Amino acid sequence: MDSDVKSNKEFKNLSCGGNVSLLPSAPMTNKITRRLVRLYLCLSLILFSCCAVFAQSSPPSLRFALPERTRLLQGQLVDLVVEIRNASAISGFKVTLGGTDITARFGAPQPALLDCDASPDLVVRANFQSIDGPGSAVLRAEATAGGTSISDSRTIDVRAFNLTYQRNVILFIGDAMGTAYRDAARLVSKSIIDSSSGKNSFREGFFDDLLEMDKMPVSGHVMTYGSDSVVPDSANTGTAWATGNKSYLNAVNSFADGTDCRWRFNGAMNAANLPYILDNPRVENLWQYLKRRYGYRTGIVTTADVTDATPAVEGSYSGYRQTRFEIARQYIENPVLGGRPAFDVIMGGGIDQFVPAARPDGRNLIAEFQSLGFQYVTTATDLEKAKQTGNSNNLLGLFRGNPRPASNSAGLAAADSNMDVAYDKLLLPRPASEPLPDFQGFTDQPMLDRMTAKAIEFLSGRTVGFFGTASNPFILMVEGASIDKQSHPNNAAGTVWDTIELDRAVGVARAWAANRNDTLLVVTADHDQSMSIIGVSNVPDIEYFDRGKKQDFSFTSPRGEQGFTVFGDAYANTRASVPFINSSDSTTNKRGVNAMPGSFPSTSTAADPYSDTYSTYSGFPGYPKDPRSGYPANSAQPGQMLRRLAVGFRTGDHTGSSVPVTAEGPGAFLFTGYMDQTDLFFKMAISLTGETGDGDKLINDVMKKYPATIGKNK
Amino acid sequence: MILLLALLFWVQSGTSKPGAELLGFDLHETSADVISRLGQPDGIDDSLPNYRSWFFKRGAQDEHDFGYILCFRRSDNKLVSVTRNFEPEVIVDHLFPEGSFTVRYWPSDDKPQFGVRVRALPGERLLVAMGCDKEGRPCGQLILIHREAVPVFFPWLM
Repeated sequence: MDSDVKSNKEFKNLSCGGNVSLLPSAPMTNKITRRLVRLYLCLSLILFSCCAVFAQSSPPSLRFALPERTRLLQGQLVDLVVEIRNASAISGFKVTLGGTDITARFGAPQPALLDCDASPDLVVRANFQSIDGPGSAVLRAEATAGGTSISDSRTIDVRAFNLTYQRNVILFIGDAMGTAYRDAARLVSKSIIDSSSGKNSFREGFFDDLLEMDKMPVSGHVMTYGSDSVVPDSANTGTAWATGNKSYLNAVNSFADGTDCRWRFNGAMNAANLPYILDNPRVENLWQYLKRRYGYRTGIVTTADVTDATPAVEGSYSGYRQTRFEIARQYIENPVLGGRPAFDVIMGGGIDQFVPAARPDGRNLIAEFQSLGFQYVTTATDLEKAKQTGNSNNLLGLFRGNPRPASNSAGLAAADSNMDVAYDKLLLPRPASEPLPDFQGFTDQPMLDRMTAKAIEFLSGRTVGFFGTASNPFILMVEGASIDKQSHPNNAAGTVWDTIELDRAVGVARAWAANRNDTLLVVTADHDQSMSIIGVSNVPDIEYFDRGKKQDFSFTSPRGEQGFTVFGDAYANTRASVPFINSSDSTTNKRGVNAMPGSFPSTSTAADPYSDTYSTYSGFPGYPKDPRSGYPANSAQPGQMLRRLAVGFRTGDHTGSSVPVTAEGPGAFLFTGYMDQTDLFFKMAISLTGETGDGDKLINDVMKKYPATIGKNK
Repeated sequence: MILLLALLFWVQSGTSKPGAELLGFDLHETSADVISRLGQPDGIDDSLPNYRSWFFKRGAQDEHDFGYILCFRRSDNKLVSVTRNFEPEVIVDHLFPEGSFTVRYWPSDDKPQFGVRVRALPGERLLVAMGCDKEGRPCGQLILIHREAVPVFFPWLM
């Protein structure tokens, strides 16, 4: 820094104008630095002004900030944003939709700095526009800039939507619940050893009983690609199924625009860039669409912070998922709903995002919800007591926070406060390689099935609305969030038990919807992660969880020498580029590559009566039932059998694999086959509007007349 | 003077935790230099006409934001900024010794809503601690940026 000071002296008397000041109250020692910085910035301004001159020489252009393949429902709102580059003024601006002039819907051109290139640009907006008629609608904009005619067009596919039925939709999202996650949940929760007979409910390759989500009659596969990548996140996948449109990583019901360079491309996601994060074109989600147009009751239930990405896509609009304070604000002041609350039921973690101790605006959103008639509960005990009353039909349940809520330094969010995972709420002993629970005082958190039951109770209650005084239909999203959150650090037990917890919530909804014929149930994932069912066996816990047992190895790749350390619990910690390896040091077990999937002698109960083992290639997993909770236990008492399922993780992050979807109820047949994730939005909508009787009858007949998988119809 | 030293700072004691390290950059690194230090990027966004961004994950908890975001200017492949996101946040006070930095506010110093510490570094670089105007508080975002890029990315720092 000494060299800095010397340099500063040389520029002591240089000035760039009296209005430029770096630090009005800086001490003397800072003045020198300040002058130097000022000089450099002034030179930079000159440099970029020169760039602007060159940029102005670039031809002007005009484009809609909309994807090429924009798809909308009839009447679905979307921001129409026209970006005009390399022009400081335009004339003859005109926008047509299907040949009809809609220019009057747009505001005046506003100066903007698009693409961070310092050239003068303009933006013209028409917020929350919709297209009334179904079919292909050609949207065209034109203008003249600097004597040059510029134009752009989009052909928007508009799907008909005429609400015919009072049907409900319950969408279950297992965050990261790919095929292997459902398989693992089934193999753990349905391989139960009967304590008296010793009989395994999974034997001869058949289950006595399947998962609730397995029993749904229709299944398909969902491609989850984002608009900018093969591997997506929960925000842009949520945008896909909530709005019918694809977007970029981290986007919440928003499209990319020209000011994203201010934050998305340099990573400067913070409060100073909030105007550029929130100016992205918005597209209405199905929850607001149904509530705004038809008075649907709406809800979100999650084990995450309620402002996390998956719940956020049902109630908010932001270019960046981590703008949690703004997302919480939009829950109570939803922009699509004219400032009314987005939901009638909100349940999950995330107290911090709502309280004045953390929020930069100092608002107490919990108190504001209460003033609007929401009942507020914070514990499982209070949740069970909550009942609809004449003037309080709505429910806010926030069951997890941090002891000292505070804003993060970026000024956009408080720290996540997700609910504790099922494994911990059940007080099951964590495997030694997974972190011990820390409830931080929030020891009375409800399980997801109880939250789901209460949400349905509140949402299906009698209210006054579009359909009169009868029960209004509802749309509800239920998320098992920590399937993903436990998969990131490769915590197998946390992941699998959360999937089982979600399945129990599916069971609650299936039981409620049975014989009603007015409720579509859909179970899917937003994206996959890398867990898989692997072929290793016979690794006792004492070795599996001992971090001291490790093996270093290396090999030569095209990029040079690669070295790795593989721990005894390699199945749970195998990372990218590392093959699945059984690195147990036990002389009784195979080692290294020899321990790749292969044939192993079965572990008989006679030779290995009660030891903890992992089974895939020899025998089946077998878990005792926890008598208190009814969930499978992950440890055995003396005299009980325990053989764990072996799973492995290839990475600690998302993957681009397709995910399964299963469906039940009116319109369920729409969810068969391979489909894009955006199709889920339109299929849910069509199930509310179309005559689905023939398809529904066919599915029912198939289920009754043709052989079903053992355990499916139980 | 152009510094060619790539310094490795350990932000605080206990920074051996995954995701807490801080690599120093002189902003003259080429793409190959970056790959040699950080490996292949976990994500690339080249949808902007003027800039190309490389994203790097750091740590198992690094699920929302990328640990490092490097922004290159397309015209000459020059590295113009490096953003380091910390999750969880860390103390960065030792990177801003007393007298070495100024404090600035967005949208303006007259109407402070969001404060930053700005330290001038050799090689025409600025180190900015976003939202971290006060000492002793954990910080989640450091941005190292070439001075010439400040007017377009952070005009309020002018």
